[in-house]
Amino acid sequence: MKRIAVLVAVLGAVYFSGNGYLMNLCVVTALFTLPALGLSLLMGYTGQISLGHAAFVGLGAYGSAILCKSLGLNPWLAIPLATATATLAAWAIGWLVFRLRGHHLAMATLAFGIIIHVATVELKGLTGGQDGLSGIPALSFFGYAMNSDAAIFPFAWLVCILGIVLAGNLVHSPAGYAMRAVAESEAVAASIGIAPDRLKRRIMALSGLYAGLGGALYAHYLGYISPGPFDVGFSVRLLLMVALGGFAGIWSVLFGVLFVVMTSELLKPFGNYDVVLYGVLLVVVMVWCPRGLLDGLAMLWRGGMRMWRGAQAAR
Amino acid sequence: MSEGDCLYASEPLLRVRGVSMRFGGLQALEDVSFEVLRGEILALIGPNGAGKSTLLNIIAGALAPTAGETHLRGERLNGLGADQVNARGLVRTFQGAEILRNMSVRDNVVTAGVARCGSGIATGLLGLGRSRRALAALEKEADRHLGTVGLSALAGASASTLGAGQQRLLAIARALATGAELIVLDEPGAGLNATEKGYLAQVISGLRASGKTVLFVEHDLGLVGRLAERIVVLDHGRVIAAGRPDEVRADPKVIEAYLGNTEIVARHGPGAATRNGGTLLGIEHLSVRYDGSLALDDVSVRVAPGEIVALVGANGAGKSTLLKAVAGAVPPEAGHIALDGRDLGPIATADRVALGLSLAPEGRALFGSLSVLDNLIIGRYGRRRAAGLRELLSPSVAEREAERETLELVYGYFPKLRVRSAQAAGTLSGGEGQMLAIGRALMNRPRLLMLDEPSFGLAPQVSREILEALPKLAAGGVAILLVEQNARAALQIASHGYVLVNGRIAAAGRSRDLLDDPEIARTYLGWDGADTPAGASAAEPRLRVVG
Amino acid sequence: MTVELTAELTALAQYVASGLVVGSIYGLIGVGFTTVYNVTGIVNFSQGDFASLGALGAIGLIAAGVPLPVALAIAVLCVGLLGVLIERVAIRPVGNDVLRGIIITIGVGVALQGIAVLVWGTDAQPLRAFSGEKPVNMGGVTVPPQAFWVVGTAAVLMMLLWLFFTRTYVGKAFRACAVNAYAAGLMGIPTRAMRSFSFFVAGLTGAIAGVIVAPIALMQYDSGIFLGIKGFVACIIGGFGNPVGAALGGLLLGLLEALSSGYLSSGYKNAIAFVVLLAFLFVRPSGLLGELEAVKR
Repeated sequence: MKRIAVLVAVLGAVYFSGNGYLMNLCVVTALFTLPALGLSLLMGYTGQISLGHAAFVGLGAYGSAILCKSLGLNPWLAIPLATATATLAAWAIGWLVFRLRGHHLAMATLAFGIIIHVATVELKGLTGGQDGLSGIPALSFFGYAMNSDAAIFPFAWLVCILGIVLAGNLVHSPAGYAMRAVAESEAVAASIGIAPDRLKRRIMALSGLYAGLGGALYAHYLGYISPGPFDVGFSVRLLLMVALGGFAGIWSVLFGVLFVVMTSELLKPFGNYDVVLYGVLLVVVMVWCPRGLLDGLAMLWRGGMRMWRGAQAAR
Repeated sequence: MSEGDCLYASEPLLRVRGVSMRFGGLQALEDVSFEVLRGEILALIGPNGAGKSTLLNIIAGALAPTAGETHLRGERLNGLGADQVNARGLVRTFQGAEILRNMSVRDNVVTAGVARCGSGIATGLLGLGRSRRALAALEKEADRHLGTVGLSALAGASASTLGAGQQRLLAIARALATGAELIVLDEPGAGLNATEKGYLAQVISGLRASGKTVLFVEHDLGLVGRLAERIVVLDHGRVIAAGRPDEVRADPKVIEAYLGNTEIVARHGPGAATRNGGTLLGIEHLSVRYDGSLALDDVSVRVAPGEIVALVGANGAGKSTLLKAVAGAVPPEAGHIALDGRDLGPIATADRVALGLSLAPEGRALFGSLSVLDNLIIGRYGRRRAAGLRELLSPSVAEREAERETLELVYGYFPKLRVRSAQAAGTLSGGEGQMLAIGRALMNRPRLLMLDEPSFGLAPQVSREILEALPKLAAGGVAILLVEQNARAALQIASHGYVLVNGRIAAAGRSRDLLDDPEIARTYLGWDGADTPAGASAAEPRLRVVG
Repeated sequence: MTVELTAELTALAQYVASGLVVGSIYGLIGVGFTTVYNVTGIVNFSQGDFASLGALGAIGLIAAGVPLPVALAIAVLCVGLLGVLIERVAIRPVGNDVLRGIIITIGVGVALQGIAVLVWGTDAQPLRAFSGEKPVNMGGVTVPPQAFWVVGTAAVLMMLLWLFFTRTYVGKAFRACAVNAYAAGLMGIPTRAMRSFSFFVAGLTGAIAGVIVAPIALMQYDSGIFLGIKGFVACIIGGFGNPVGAALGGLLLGLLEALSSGYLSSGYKNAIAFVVLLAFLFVRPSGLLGELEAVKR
């Protein structure tokens, strides 16, 4: 509860400061946090792997956009429908791939991710191909259209905070214990009455829900989508966001997302350094700080303090 | 533990009928049938490879049998998944305890109650009263179960900090939390010391007192003797005996199954003389910790040059660990290992090979996709490398000669290998594979050859053939440290023997004396639980030096 | 009638030819995957990037004035050494944790791509063909001379590797390590050095694949992703862990791609690889020839 209060306070400060740059960063962070949360639940807590999560974000985005443009649906209706589509797709893919393990599973998820991405490019009639879809209507609240950073800021963060709260609830509920059991040993989980396959599929569906919702909101926020952002690179960036946060830690996911969004911004003027940084960071974090960058830095700090104190004592 | 203690009408809780299991060409279980009566403690025992783990996996739903059925309270179990079997009232623990290390001790037990608590993902997300209340109830239950097994003090600690004994107790607490009536324990005493086993026995008796039924697989027959009301004995996938402990202990079929009944024709010469020829391998007061528990405790073994020493013991006694420690694959916690007076402690495995040590590991560990000849010449890697890096790329004439000579030597001992030299090692029969494993170990011209259970998985005639070849090797100047479950056969070809029980040497002496000793079966099997405390006085293992 | 038939056959032969060329590359990449997997149990998701880096490195050296053969040799060698470095720094500390290993190799791949972008930018880079551009006409089928380099080099390299692994002592020791590292250690074989060596070979084969295909298919910083995936699919088709399977799987995949590209649509060319991948993963995960051996850990 305290953390939410702090978060709201910080957000409030940003909002009322009127700083366009910061507000934009925050909105983007909110929209990326949703799929990252979903991935964290799947990979961090349930121990599975998904290298194609960008596809679910894309399904949500394109689904909602197409429903609005082709069927003229109201965004408030299109978004839940698109999210449901992404959820269903995730469940189905889970049903297919979770019989696999290890690198087979990783490759299968990668393959599905790329297939969906290729479909968005090739099904030009539906998705507009490489040109994408423009003119996606913004969400409007009693005539007030949320098509600017300032306008969508409160709503985006409302949804995001709701997502964080729900995920946090899940993790601390009995189901959360079941997830962690399945992550560590499916045989043990089964021996105590937990059905691993069913749980994995359901969590996959849930993570698809989060991703699809994030994608749908993104589409209506930006007003325009193209296949580009929903490729393998985005899946890897989602992976990085979750890894930096230590895979399992609802609030640390927020840190991971913020870190990636900020470094991406800060490095823009220098050219393409962000890709190298992400790759190196991924390796560094996985090798030395599997519990997250913050945790790793904390360990470094503690180690440094110990050495310093030791030197002091020696004197 | 008399019959009178059982107050319930003896109705069967678990029925196993005609269970058979076939893995490809291997018949792991054949027509196994028995019952577990409500409220009793039943032990499932048998030598290594008897099929106990397979049977347990079938009962627990982790494996579907090729034939046969299992019923719990009349309801069919086989064909259900492991989680469904658990829902019906059967819970199993695992050989390695398999606690969830990423959680606290209490959380491990809480997780076991999750499946029945009625709060799933949807309620979990909402986080309203229901999931909170469910969790609180689970935590209270967990503390109660932890109290039953005596781990209350550690409830908040991370499960990864637990020692072996505590892990087993946690596994039992976790099993209790599932609410199952039939508790199936897989080697609950493995890796525990005497005190821990005593405590474990108390806990298991307590389970029965509270109305549970217990089926447990165990190698420590001392523990079995103290706890079990009935015993079922498996050997080579078949039930060979079932009944009360006193009946089973006296059953000659059971003794034979454990000790082996192979009669070796070619006996080794008198052992006494060679003992004074100095010490090639000296193991002194060796203690080794393996996976958190003490696998070897104060073990001393001596091998003189050119002699065959047999190290026998039931499964789990620590025999393999001893060989691994000598080879350098596991570090000792205490004690010394010396080869020809030279302390091996700081020397790495590859260098020990260069010093004249060779190990043919358990399960043969052949390089299946390489040919027989390639397996053999690869066996010589250590020698070649020791002669210089260039030898690996382009061997000198001297090295080539030495290799050829050694090959001829090996073919001399095992002519079948010459015939099959171009064949892939994976296509060899069991006996031929074992010959290859030994031949490969000989290629480095070791002074000490260590064999880890060469007769495992082989038919009696084949294992006899292998074991009979060993004295010929010894005559050629190679000392042999032979680890075997087939005690009788091993002691017949060896000059000296050691009996290892639960990580300690329980008997030692000239092998002929050990064989003639009428007590040897009891010592070997360990029915009396020589290492478990009896009442107030903890009985020390009676080390009997025979002859 | 005969004219149409000949035209049909010629078209088919053309597709087969291009399929063999591409297939050789996939096979080489697959062999790189297999070599590392057999010894370490890890699937190196950055294998494809060895190819792109090798090509880009050669291109850069040539642009700096280094003669072609020397540039190729240096680039290939450097990528091989890079592989050793990666094993030492990123792979070895993690041991046998599959999940972490996968993500680490993904990270390595991304880092390599990032370095490629920094050094060579995002544009596709051309490498001139080794022996000229004039297409060779073989009975109606036009083939660029580079195609012979591709198939020829791939065949020679695979032959050399085969000879190494089956005829030399060190090669056999390497295979022993791959089959059972514990037993190999007992014979005194240095298993750690073998791990490094496997990454060296993987880097070498990957880089060679990259440089020989670069004149035909423009290479850029992210060409490695798809090359890696196709190489992985080649391994799955042939049976993971089986080098012969990887080579055959690569050829098969190349042919399937060329045929579907010719007879269906080129847009779905990449999709073919994934459809095949998923088909095998679900129906026959052990591949056509079966996995070499259950990798013992």
